[in-house]
Amino acid sequence: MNRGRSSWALALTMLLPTLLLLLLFNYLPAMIGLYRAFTRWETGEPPRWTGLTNFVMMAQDEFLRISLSNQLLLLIANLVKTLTMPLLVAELLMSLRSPRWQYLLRTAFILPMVVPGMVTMLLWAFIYDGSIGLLNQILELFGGGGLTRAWLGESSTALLAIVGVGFPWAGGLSLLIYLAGLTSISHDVWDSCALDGATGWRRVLMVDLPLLRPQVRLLMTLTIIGTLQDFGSILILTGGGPGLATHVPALHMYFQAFRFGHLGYAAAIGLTLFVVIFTLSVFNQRLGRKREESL
Amino acid sequence: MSQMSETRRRPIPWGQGVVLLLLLLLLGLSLLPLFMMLLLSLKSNADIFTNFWGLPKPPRWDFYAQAAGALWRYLLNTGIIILAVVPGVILLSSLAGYALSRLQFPGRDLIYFGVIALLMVPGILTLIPTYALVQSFDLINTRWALILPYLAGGQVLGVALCRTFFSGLPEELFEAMRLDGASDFTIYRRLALPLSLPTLATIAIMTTLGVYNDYIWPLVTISDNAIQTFTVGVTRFSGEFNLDYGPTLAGYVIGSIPLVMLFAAGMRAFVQGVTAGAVKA
Amino acid sequence: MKEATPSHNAGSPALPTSRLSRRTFLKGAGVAAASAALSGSSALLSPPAAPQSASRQIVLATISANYREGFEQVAREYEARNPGVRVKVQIMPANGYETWLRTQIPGGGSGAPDLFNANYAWGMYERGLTVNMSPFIEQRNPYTGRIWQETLNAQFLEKFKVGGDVTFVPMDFIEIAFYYNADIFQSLGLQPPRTWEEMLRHAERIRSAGIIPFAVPGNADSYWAGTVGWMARFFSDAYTRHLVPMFLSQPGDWDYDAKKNAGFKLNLNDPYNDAYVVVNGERLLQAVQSGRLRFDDARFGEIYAHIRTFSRYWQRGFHGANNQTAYHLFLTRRAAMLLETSATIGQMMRDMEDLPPSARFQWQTFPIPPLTSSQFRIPPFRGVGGPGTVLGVVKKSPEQVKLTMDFLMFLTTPHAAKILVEQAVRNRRPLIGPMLIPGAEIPDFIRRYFRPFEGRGFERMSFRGLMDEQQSVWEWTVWAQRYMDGRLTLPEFLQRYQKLMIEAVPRVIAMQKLDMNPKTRDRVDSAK
Repeated sequence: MNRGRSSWALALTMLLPTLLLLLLFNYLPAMIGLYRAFTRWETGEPPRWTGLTNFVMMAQDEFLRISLSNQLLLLIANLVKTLTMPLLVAELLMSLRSPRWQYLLRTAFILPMVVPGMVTMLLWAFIYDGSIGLLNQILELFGGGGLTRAWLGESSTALLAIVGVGFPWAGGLSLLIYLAGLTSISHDVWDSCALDGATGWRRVLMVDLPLLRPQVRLLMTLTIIGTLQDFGSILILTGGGPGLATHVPALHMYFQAFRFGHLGYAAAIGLTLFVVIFTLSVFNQRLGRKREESL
Repeated sequence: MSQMSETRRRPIPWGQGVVLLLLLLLLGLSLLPLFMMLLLSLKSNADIFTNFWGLPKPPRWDFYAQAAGALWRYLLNTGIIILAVVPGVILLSSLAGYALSRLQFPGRDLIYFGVIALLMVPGILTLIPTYALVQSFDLINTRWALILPYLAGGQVLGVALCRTFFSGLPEELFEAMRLDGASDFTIYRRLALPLSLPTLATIAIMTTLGVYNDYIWPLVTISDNAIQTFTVGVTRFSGEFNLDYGPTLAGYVIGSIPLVMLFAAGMRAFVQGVTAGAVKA
Repeated sequence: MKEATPSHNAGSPALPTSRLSRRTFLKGAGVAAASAALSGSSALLSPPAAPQSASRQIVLATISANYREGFEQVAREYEARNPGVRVKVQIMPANGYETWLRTQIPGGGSGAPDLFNANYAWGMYERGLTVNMSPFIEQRNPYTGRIWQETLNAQFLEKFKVGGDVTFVPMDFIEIAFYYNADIFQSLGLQPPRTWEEMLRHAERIRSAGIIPFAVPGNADSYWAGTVGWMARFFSDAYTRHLVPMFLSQPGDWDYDAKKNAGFKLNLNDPYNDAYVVVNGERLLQAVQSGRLRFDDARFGEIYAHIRTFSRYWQRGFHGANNQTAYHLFLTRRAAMLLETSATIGQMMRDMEDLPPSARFQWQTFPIPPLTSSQFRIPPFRGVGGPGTVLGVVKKSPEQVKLTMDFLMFLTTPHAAKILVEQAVRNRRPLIGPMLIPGAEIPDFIRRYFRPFEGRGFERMSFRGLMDEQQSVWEWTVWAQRYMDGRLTLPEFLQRYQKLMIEAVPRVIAMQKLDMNPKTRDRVDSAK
């Protein structure tokens, strides 16, 4: 009994700083965000309750509507990117016989992760540069000089160029997660596959992929969250332009809040994005689980 | 048998040469931007225009001095933030993680759930309210605007990782120390803390990466360049070289060095940090 | 993304410089300061005021690093002529300069400078921290023997008065003009164009020779603070100048100033005609609200048709280009012309020297040529620039202020201005633009570059967005880019333009807390 009380006191002491910080900087903002999404709240002014007005405005917001289709395309492209190239590289690495090469190449593929994210973005801005960009230089080298352009500067190519960032999308976190998944598949499974005659690409499809389902599910969730939330890279690369060619909802939220001072409206967009992200993630997790169970 | 399973591990039916070639090709494409960054960082504009792919003649090492001169303040600022945040996150996370795993008290599981539930709250929801909050504390344009939210945010996953780690430690270790008359806090300090060093290293690297790479938060809260961080500063500093590409790219290289060093210092912890950090996002 | 922060807060008086270009030109090039190179020409000047007490100090803390060596030389000369006075030149990093000023000047302590770049600390004068220079500029400048203000630029003094007081002395200004590759022009037998239409004919010739006629940055930044924004500004200024009387403060308005407005008569032939008049913001908003000023009328239709036509001669994908990209197209001889600020002159000289001799070329500048093909009477285009280096004086003891003024008088003599320019050129530092010291002896080869930037007047009102309200600016940029991209027709664009401007009116009213009655002053002063 005595011991229990001292435990309480000690536990409280150990937890207090953490709890205070979390309440102040995590719970409180989340609550404020929830509430103020329903207010008219302009920079420097107190918020005023307006019910669903912000959400009605969102429904009528032409810019937001255009940004949705960009977002959808980016989401699909990012999902495809995550589910193909890193998996291919992981399988290729796994099939290398020499452990030395395997280790060396794996490390090399991780290397781009060491470059700060912002530097990577700025490098890609440079790659797409219309004047001396790397991509144009490569095209000229191979006789495609007629194709050169300011890739981020034309409505017709800007969104594609955003998708192309990170090409060939082979390394990074997804690769690490796939590798971890593949390494954990026990040798016995592969041995019995071999006996069943399931080898090569057939085995990748029939055995590896189903067994990698938790990894795939995780990566899909991460991609959904990452894509819908990340507007920093678009801000750096195109600022949403030209026109609205690369505009996305999160960027719209940022502009509304920090350029135009419409904090309440921005909070409403933020809340909506949160609901969408949450729903998609849960849906993705459920869907994945169900399939696993039916196996 | 092991020989056999080694062969069977390989799903790709092509020969080793083909696989290796393909991997090297993909690797080359992945690393090309970094390679060109290094190459062009040593070239004057004239050299870039007339001799894009060739070796720099002469290599302009002075660009690195120029870039360092323009960037050191931003890097220092990021360093200050990291030094303020990382030890705090480690200490508080381990304390809280310990309490939530090894101490018995009412409401423990509820509190833990309250912490990890925050993993589900995306930054996009809290960005604007946190800004308003920090503003109402009159912290905008001070280092505190970065330090306090980072300190709080970094702990969510930190606490979860620490709790998982401490829960996994065998009870016998703790019993033995208790029998020797050690208090709970002594056990934390003498036993749990040293054992958790690898986990703490992971948290440290994860937090460092998070702070180093964050762009939007310092962008909106810090307007004074004198305390601005690297990630925002690097988007602006090229203006100081007027229209030279070389020093700008040299600056990108310089800005990558701290993370390269972090990577070299502990690849395993780095990889774990990256993975843990991403799982949180 | 380039800077995403709203760096142009609507509260502070918008100094055109800040909108003209956001690049930092002032980074020292690392050249060792050849400071005390005394020139023997000081004999031209009248004798100095008699030295007073010993060991007094004047601190000039400036970010105008391009004048580093020039300031030093002028300081040494001044010290030589005024024994016992020490002039300390501190070149400050642009980063954090504003914060530094805002902490040092109110402190008033020993850290506070005497002279500083006044456009980095708006609101200081209103708070009584800096000196009213009006009485001083009416005094005789002992170093020229003339009344001080006669050797200063009257237009700038007048234009940036705060409550009728002169609060800083302008040294130089920044403006835009076209740069052209003289070698390309020569090989095609072209002369600098005298009309807009002739310029487009030149462009046609240049294009058929396989060269990009104009390198233009067209990213969102450029629409707001760069080249395309400048075009929209000088075009709409020319097309709407005649409307200025509609927006003027009237007798009885809170901001009416009889000295400035009573005698105003519209004269489209004088580029400085409306430079001093007071425009009432509420009257302007009323005009937009009531439809007396429309953005979908024939005039704005012409403006945007002209800009679109012009854009046919820009490089492909200009919407993805920043000013760096555009500059490189010009520097690598792939583009024949470039619209840039006067601050690029120094840069271009330096870069030209760095190029291998085979890649160098002759270049020159020409002013934005006037439009002649319009159904309306369109006056010549005016400038969109403003002061570059402007110096204010921190309020200290009367003796200290007097001493500082004496040095400032010396610093603004034609002789000193010449030193500033010569040293900047010698040390390969960029010049911001023409000096605002009348009679300054500027080396002839620079003078030639500068001339097209001078004497163009200043725009009065600009309409890319409504009164710089950021949402309307962004919306204008979005629709304008889509129009320039061919995704919107001219009528479609104009319709959206009108709509976005109308929709911005209530936002501006709410933001500035206006009652829309010009008689009352209701704008909340947003001094920090």
